[in-house]
Amino acid sequence: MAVIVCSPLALGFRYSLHRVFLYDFDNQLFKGFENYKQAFADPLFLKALNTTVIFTIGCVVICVLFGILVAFLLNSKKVVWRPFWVALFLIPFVMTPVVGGIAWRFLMWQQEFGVINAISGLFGAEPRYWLLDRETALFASIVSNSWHLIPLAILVFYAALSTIPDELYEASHIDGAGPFQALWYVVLPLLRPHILFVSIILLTSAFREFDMIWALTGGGPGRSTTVLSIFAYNRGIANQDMGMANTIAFSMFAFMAVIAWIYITVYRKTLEQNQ
Amino acid sequence: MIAPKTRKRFQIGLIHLLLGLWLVISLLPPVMLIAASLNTKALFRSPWDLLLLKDFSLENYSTAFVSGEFWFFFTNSVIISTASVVIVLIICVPMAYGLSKISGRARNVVAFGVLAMRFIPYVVLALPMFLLFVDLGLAGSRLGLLLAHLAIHIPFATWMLVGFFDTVPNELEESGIVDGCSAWNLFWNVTLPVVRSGVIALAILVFIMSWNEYLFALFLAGSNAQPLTVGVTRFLGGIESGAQHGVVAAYSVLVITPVIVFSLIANRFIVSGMTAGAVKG
Amino acid sequence: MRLEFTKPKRWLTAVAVLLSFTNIAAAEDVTIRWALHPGAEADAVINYFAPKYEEETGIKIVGEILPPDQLRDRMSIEAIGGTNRWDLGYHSPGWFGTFKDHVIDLTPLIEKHGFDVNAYPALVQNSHMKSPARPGEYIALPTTPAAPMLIYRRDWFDHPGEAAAFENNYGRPLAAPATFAELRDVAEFFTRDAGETLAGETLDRPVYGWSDALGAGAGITRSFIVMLYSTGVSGWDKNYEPDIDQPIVGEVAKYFVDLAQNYAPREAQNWGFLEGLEMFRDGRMATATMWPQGVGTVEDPAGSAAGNTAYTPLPLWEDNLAGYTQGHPFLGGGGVFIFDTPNSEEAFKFLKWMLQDNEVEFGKQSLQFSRLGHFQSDELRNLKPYYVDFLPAFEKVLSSVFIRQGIPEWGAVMWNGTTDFITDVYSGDLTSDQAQERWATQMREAFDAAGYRQ
Repeated sequence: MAVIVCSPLALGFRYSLHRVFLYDFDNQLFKGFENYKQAFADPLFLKALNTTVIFTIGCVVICVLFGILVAFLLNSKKVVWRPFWVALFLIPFVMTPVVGGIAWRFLMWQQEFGVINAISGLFGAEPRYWLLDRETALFASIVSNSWHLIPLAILVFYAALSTIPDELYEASHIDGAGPFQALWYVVLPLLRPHILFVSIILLTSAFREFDMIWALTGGGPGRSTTVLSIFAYNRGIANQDMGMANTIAFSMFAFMAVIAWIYITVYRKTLEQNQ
Repeated sequence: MIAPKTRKRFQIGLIHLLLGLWLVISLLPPVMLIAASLNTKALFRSPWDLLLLKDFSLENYSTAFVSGEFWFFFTNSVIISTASVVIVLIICVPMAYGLSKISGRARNVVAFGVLAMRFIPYVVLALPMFLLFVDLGLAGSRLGLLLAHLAIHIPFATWMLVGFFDTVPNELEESGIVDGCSAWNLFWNVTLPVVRSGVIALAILVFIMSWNEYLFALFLAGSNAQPLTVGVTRFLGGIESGAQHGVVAAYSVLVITPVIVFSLIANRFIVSGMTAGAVKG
Repeated sequence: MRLEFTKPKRWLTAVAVLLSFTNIAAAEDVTIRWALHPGAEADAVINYFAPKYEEETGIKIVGEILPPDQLRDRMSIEAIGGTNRWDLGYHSPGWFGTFKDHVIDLTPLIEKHGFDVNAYPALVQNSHMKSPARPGEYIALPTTPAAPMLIYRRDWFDHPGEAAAFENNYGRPLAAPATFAELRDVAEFFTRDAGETLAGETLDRPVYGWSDALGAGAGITRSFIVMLYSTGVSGWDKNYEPDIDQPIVGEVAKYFVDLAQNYAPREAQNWGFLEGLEMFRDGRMATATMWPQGVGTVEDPAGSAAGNTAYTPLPLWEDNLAGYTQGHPFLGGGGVFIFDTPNSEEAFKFLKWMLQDNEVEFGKQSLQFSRLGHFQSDELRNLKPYYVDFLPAFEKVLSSVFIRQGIPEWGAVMWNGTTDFITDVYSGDLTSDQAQERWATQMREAFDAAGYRQ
């Protein structure tokens, strides 16, 4: 197993130190860290990095926010058919991302016949070219991808909330707190480790998202939704520059390794505090 | 002043209304897909027309079945997903069990490594993997694609399973040891039943992930191993793309139906499994 | 830990054996596999020629249509991997060099089986059969040589009200644009909102002045590079010194962005190749750049453009560096090459049978015209009512086309260079000066690495 996991990694790292073109595959030149230098001097790489960060943070924030809200509603007393809601809320998560992308692109965001414009039209809004407009394409991608990931957040938060004893709510209720005050002062602090946990899962997933964005915009218009994984794909496959593609990938890996390390430290601390 | 009872009722009503709204948001894309697949000329109609099936026809499905080689892709998807599940369970359950028994640094290192695996963009794993498979004679085969799937599932599965095993109280095993159970018996008869629903959940999740996987399939599946996710994109970007949207929709519905049905049937396990590991871990 | 690993391994082997069983079947008879680009020619191969050839010879031809944006990469990957997955591959000549290490020299087979090379115009021979990466050899056979033309709505141009209004505004008669500057005027003139009138009818949806595919990647690249070559640049000169850093490239980029952003529909940013012609077909565009593969869509009797479309070569870029007298797109489309597999000779025999022995039938089935015999055939000329207008225009287009250099680096420096350049200028991420400079630098580096420059 280790061979299957590690050897492509090692091979990929090796490529990142070489000049490797698919059209001239047998002629590989050692370049040391030259590729990395080039990447970090390339405005396109920095732009893709920037886009990736916005995309990732956008997804995490939306997912955590709506995840907590929906979980909180779901956990309210006297909600009927809880299993029914949970089961159906899960569907966006299990739905194939490529297919999800297709559905959002052709049936939701589509400018002339899409659901979004049809609904916003009911409120008198002008139809927009959501995926074709540089200002909205990234936003639309974030929303679509969040739609796919939110069920995960809902589930985890819902499970966490259901472990909070009712007495806590009742106590806050007696103190005269409304449901949203209770959410803010009682529930959120208790949820902190779970927020961290969900965030890291979402972060890793959103950071390297490919399928959904690929199906939605292909990285366009312009480069407005070209996140690092699409950038790497373009370099490696369209430009046939496998050296640079692997350099980008390894840079992604390095960023994430740092974040993972910070996360594990913080998570451990939070757990200790809460216990 | 509104009577507290009325207020309470209003509150409950509001909560259900909001949940209903969320349900609409969650289900709109798949429902629209179904609607589009049941209309001819799917793209050129307003969403309301699509939902009302003003242009009802099953033609898209017959096209998808006939010209899309549906069963070919379907078989590949089934074989690869099922095999993934079986192998992941065989490998990860003992591995996670072992890991949950160690503590301290070693475990942190493994946890970190496993987590780190999650950060690798699949895009670039795929090419070295292909070349590697060429050397191993696995290129373009189902086995190659399966191995790639395993490479991504195993870290994830192990991480999740360690979380489950950690929830097993030590006292339980200790009492087993006192009763004189062998190590194997202890694992099989004492520990495993406790985490059963977690393991089932994991199996289902792995199946769904395998079923949904696209990128590796794009690179690694030869002409005889392509799964449904690759099949569905065959209809995209063709020359007469406008005419094909209904067929894309029909194909999409066929692709997602098994996973959705699966997730609905086994919902209890998925929910308990996904959350048990998460909340306690 | 070790203990736990041994068991799974045995299982894995068992599963592996089980899985590989499913792959073993067949392989006895000769089966020729062809990686195809989607299009009428691919359909012709799969639906018509493959079954017919199998019937005649017992040799099975399997055509596999790959999505356009994956075709080259998949063929490269399989070729590098040496999997023998395909015996035949299809690509546009600019990328032939990419496959230099994996395709066979066809010269001996051409001689042995009597394939007539001279059935193709000289330009097509140079472009679609040879490559500087394999000097002195024939490495491909042309199947779909093609170059784009301009199409416009003849009925709208002929409409007296429109003609008068145009002459009023622009001080010259409304006619097929002969220069790109005139094309911009025409595009501006015909771009109308819903509710306005056009040719005496009130529009319920907007009409656009011009379009071509503007989708990220291949779409916008193809659309722009056609105009780029019309300015007379070739990418680099004979000393491998880039010529794309000249001011004229900045000008054509500015022109292209203006045309694309102001007169083309936003939807065009979703189009990779010919999808947008459906809008032309439905009477929502006044002019368009059209590759010949799209003529069937345009003349689809369901649309209003059928019978009302005029065909003409692309307009001239005034003051172009090479003295062209009409637009000068690259000669695109593609040819088929034969990978180095055990089936290569059988594959060649099939190609010869299809392209030469069934010359007219190939034109008829694939709707692709490249051989002299195609243009001379009355049968083909009368095949469709609109061929009377379309075929002569296409023949004229083919008289002024850019033949791509075909070195292995062409794709990296020219195609992807164009993609990066126009993407950045179009989106405003870089000025054209910055983008040109980066492009030229990368080009020099690539040529230095390949040892072309001294």
